Amino acid sequence: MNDISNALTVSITPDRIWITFWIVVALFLIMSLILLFHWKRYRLKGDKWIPVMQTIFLVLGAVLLVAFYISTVALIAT
Amino acid sequence: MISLHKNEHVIMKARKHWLIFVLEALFIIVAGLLPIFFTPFLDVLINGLTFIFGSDAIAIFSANPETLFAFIYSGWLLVTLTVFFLIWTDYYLDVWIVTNQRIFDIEQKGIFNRNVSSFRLRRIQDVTVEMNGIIPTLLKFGTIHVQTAGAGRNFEMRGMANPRKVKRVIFKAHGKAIKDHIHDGLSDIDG
Repeated sequence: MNDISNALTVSITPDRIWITFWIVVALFLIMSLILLFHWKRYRLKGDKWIPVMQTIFLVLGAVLLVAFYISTVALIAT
Repeated sequence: MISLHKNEHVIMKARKHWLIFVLEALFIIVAGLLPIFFTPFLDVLINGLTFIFGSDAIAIFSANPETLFAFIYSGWLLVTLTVFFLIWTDYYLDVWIVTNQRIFDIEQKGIFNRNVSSFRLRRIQDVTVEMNGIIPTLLKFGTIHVQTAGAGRNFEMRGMANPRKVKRVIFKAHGKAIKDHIHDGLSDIDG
């Protein structure tokens, strides 16, 4: 059991937490740019849903980014 | 982006029914909410992990499980939020646009695969609507097929909202397009 435990043990260092944070943030930002590009490029004239969904996406995305950052800092502080 | 001819205007836009989107997005909504149901069992989970891996290996889990949960969950929500909007974009950009001259069939497959075809209204030979089952009948959605003259391919959209209304609009626009075409032809002869 100890061998398995040692093999599976991955110490969670602050560096690794920050790397995880930046990977998730980078992926999110890349996908956001792709979505925003699509909504701008393929939006039809008089379309009312794309601006609504775009606002919801940006607001929720910003809130979650802040929450993710705060939880990362809090986790490192422990 | 589509470009319209001179004197061409949009009559209607037809999309898939909202239920199609909800069914496609359901798994990601469930995936986003699922971790919340595990929060009451965090202690049980940590005790189990401690038993398996030993207390040293998961020290960070047991030190502050709520913070770790917040870290993982907020990251997970960022991922699910993106996937949810990708599914919505795929659904929303899949559209039929009926103008007074043509029908545009815009097919969005995933995020990097987009197919735009158009055909003239006067080339339409037949429009068929299929609504099979209780739910499609009650919620008014189904498959619409448009058969065109010549060797061109036939067009169809599955799960279209209000296909009967779309069919009526297409027939009306088709009749008018043929009338205009004949009228233009006669004007040319007179002129």
